[in-house]
This record gives sequence, C-alpha cells and structure tokens, in this order.
Amino acid sequence: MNKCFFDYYAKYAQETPDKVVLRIDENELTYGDFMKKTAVFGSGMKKLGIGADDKVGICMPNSIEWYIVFWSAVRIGAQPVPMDPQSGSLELSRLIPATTSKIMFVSEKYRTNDIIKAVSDLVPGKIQQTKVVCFAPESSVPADDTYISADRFVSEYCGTECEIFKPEALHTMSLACTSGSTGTPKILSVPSGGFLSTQEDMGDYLEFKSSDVMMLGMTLYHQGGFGMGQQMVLKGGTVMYQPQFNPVTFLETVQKYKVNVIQLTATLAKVLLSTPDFDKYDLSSVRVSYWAGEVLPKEIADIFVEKLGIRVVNVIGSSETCTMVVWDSAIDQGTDPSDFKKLSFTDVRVIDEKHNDVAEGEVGELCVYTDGVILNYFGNPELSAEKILTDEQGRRWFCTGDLVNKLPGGIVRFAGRSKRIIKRGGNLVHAEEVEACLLTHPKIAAAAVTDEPHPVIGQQIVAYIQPKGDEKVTRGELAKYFDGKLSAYKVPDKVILVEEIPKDIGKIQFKYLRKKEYK
Amino acid sequence: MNNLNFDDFKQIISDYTGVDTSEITADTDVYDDLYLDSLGLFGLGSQITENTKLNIPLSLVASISKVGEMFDLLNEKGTPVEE
Repeated sequence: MNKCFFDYYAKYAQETPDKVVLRIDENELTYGDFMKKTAVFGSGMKKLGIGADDKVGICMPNSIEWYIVFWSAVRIGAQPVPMDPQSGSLELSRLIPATTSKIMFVSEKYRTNDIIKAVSDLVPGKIQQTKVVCFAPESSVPADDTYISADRFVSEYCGTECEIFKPEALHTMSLACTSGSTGTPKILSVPSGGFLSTQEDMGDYLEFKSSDVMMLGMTLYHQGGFGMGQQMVLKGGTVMYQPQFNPVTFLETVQKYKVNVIQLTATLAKVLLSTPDFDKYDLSSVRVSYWAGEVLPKEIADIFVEKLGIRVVNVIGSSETCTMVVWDSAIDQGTDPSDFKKLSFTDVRVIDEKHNDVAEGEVGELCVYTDGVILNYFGNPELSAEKILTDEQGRRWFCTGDLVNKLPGGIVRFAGRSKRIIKRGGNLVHAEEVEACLLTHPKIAAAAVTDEPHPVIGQQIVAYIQPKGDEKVTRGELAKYFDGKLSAYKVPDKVILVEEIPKDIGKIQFKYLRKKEYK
Repeated sequence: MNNLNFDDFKQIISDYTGVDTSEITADTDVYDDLYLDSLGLFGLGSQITENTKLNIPLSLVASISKVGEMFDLLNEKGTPVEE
C-alpha cells in the first residue's frame, strides 16, 4: 500500500496531538486539530457533492484556514487548486474555468486586492460554481445563493467524521497554478506519490528533525513555498509563515521561537540584511538557510555561511519538479552558488533542441528527473508532450527552460532562461501576459515587455509602448488600468514610449528598442 | 537631518510611478494610490537613492505606507551614499 501525507499527519496527531504544525503570526494549528478540522471541512465538501478528482479553488493568503481547506480537499480525494490571492478578475476569468474548479474558498481581501469582488464579477454571472465559501463577515458576503460565509458553511453542511481517501501513487494530489496565464494558464498536476517521496527525500537530505521549527519567507500558495514546508511537516516539525513578509517581525519571530531553519529568497535576504540592528538579533538557533526562487549572489551566501555560521542550501528548481539540484555550503563552499549538482534522488541532463545531450563545456537546456515531476499540464496535452519526457524506465523528466553550462564533475552552471520570463523578486512574470494586457488598453498600438537588472529585486519589468497617434501613456495610468485585472506584481515598473516597435520581437530587437526612445 | 524639499521629492515619485504630482500629497498611500506592490516600493526606494544620493534601509521602506512617511524617513534616517 502506498503511503500518503495523511498517514504522517495521523501518526503525529496520535503521538503529539498538542504540537503545533503550523503557526502564522499568533495563530496556531496543532497536529490534533489538523485531523479534526480537515474532517469538518472535508465532510462539508462531501455534503455539497464534492468528491474524488473534483477541483477545489482556494484564493486566500497565508492562513490557518488556507491550510485546512487545502488538506480537507486532499482528505476526500478532491484536488485543491491554490490561486494567487493577488489575482484580479482577468486572471481568475481564465484560471477558474481552466482548472474546472467546482467550488471556491476565498478570503475577503489580500492587501489592496478585493478578492470577493474579483470573484463576484465572474460568479455566478459568467462562471458557475457549486458554492463560493467566504472567510469573511456575513455583511461582506454577496447576497446571491452561491455565496456562503465559512461560519454558515460549517454549521449547515459540516460534520465531524470524514474518511481519508487513499490515493494511488499516480493520483493527482493537487493542481498548482504558475504565474503565467497567457491564453491557456499553466496548471500543474502534482502526483500524490512522487510529491510525497521527493519532499521526504529532501527533508532527509537537510537532516530535518521533529524538534525543528522552520520559518518560510515564501508563501503557502506558491508550490515551492508549500512543498518546502511539507519537508519539515513529514518529520513532525513545525512550520511558520507570515501573512505577508515583514523583515522586522521575521527576525523577531526567528529569535522568539528559536527557529532552526529559515527559507528565503535573495530579495528577502537583502531586505533582512538592511534591517537596522540586524546584528543584534539572536539568530544562533538557525542551523540551515534554504534558498529558492532567484539567483543567489555569492556575497549574500558568504554573509550567511561565514559571518552567521549558517549552512546555505540553494536550490534551482521549478514548481514542475519539486526538488531538483542544489548548491550546499556544507559541501560546495568556496564555489559559486550558481553552480549546482544533482542530489542522490534526482538526475540531470543538459540537452539541445533535439533532446540530445550536449558536450561538456556547452550550454543547453536543463532537464531534470525527480519522482515528483508533474504528471502533466492539466488540460494541455501539447505543452505536456513538449516539456515532459518519459524515458524507457518510465521516469518522467522535465525540460526546465533554464539554460545551463555543462561543466566537468556533474556541475551545471545557471546561464539564463530560454523563455521570456522575468524574475521579479522571486515572482515569475511572463512577458507575453503583460503584453497581452497592455494591448487591450485603448491608447496603445503596440507593446513589448522586457526585463532590466535591478539592484534589489533582481529584475524589473520594462514596457516599451507605441501609443496610438499622439497619445501619451504613463506608468500611473497603466497601473490604474491593471488594477483588478492582473496582479500588482505584474504592473510594469518602467514605461518607455517609442515611435515604433519591431514586429519580430526577440533579443536583438530589445537591444534596438533601448536605444530608440521617444523624444 | 537632511533638508529635502517635498516638491522635489514628489517629482521623483511622479517620474517613477507615472502618477501626476498634483495627485501626490503626504497622505498618498503608496499601495492604493501609487499602485505599487512591496517590490515596486523597493524599486521606488532605489530611484530615490539614485536621485537624492541618500540611502534608506530597505527594511524600513517595507514598513511604510504613506508618501509623507517615506519623506520623513529619508529626511531623518537617510545617510549619504558612499561614492
């Protein structure tokens, strides 16, 4: 019989029911309550007719409720679909139908994004849902019958008993949405067995223990941030997230709870290191710092390893593969943290356009095998066939789109992206998606989006715009126009007006564009 | 204490965000009114440093939400950029 996540949760709930599995600010969830509350919400979903393989949309920020809804869906064999709570109505209008979600769980707001409004612009007028369950006061719940507050959902539909679904290894555990949503959104089918085994292997590699506390800078609704936390949970430890990143409370929390593992991105680390009195915080409990999402500059890695005495483990990865390859200061200190090696439970190839291995010293696309490589892109067989290769042993390999240099000794060095993806402070932004939204603006005739290096956030989004006639378009105007349509992090940081945009967009044209600014 | 002029400060913000100076006051919310996200705020912080040659700690930038607070922060805690 295959093991599943609930085997671990149930075991820890029996052994240490009062132990905290998840803490977000002052809110806590114990292993014991985890089992009880997922039974409550799972039973409610079942009563509404949700069952195995049905999709359960979740548009909520980091919260205990997010975690309960996610695992309640898994408990009944349904597939939770976390959506970025920054999503506006344009993104949701694509995501909800593409994921075939039957029911949605939403928060009232996230930062300035009014989530209930964004959903109610679509449901039920344009998109049907069984119910939209709102974690919000009754007064904020839309009057339509589709909408119900979480309190009423619990009192009207939920019980206390709910069987645990036993998934096969290749059953889809959840659907993960990546930030790109140009036309057809990229929706990842996460395998139950493979996701579990790779997270367990990585937790072993990092020597996580049940007494450990891990603080994450990435979010629950990001597949990477969620998965890294599960590596600790599978050991029976405690994970902590923030409702939104705050550097001072991050450091205070590390000190207060004697955190042993911190998970960061390079941008978050730059912010942390700039905190006045950074040196005065007691970080001596921290054993491992775990990095993902961005290129890690050597200077930052050096500060953590040499000054703070903290092991640095940098992973190059994507939501499609779970764990991939690492740079680990315990083994690789003295080398560049952009040089990666495979782990004992992963494998890498560097391939050319025809999928043949390139020679040492050459650049090619990084292709990775892990047990956790996604089953497919949900609803997109063409993209699945292009990106996921199956070898003669039936192992799934993922073509990452990362360009790497194949070096001696099994080392791969990150060399760039093969696609037009902008890495803005750990968020991936697809240039095409921003262009598509710009082109709907009434004053814009043509647009091209590219990236520019930025000292803090890595890359910023630059939009070159050819206005219609003599119109003038400012970033402020575009930001207002994007508001509610696309997430705030996709708004161009810089807008440059140009007389004409070459139709054949590529790297050469972008260089050309930078010289030809509008007078 | 740095003696920055608020009108000059507004102009830097306007140039960066594309929001007209007439719409920017000390009470303007950087998230709601300037349509920045937290990373965009760091971008604005870098631009301000470039124009004024004054550094402000990023972690303090992360905790503000009004233009006036940012101006006060720069005037009170801004340190000259080392050339």
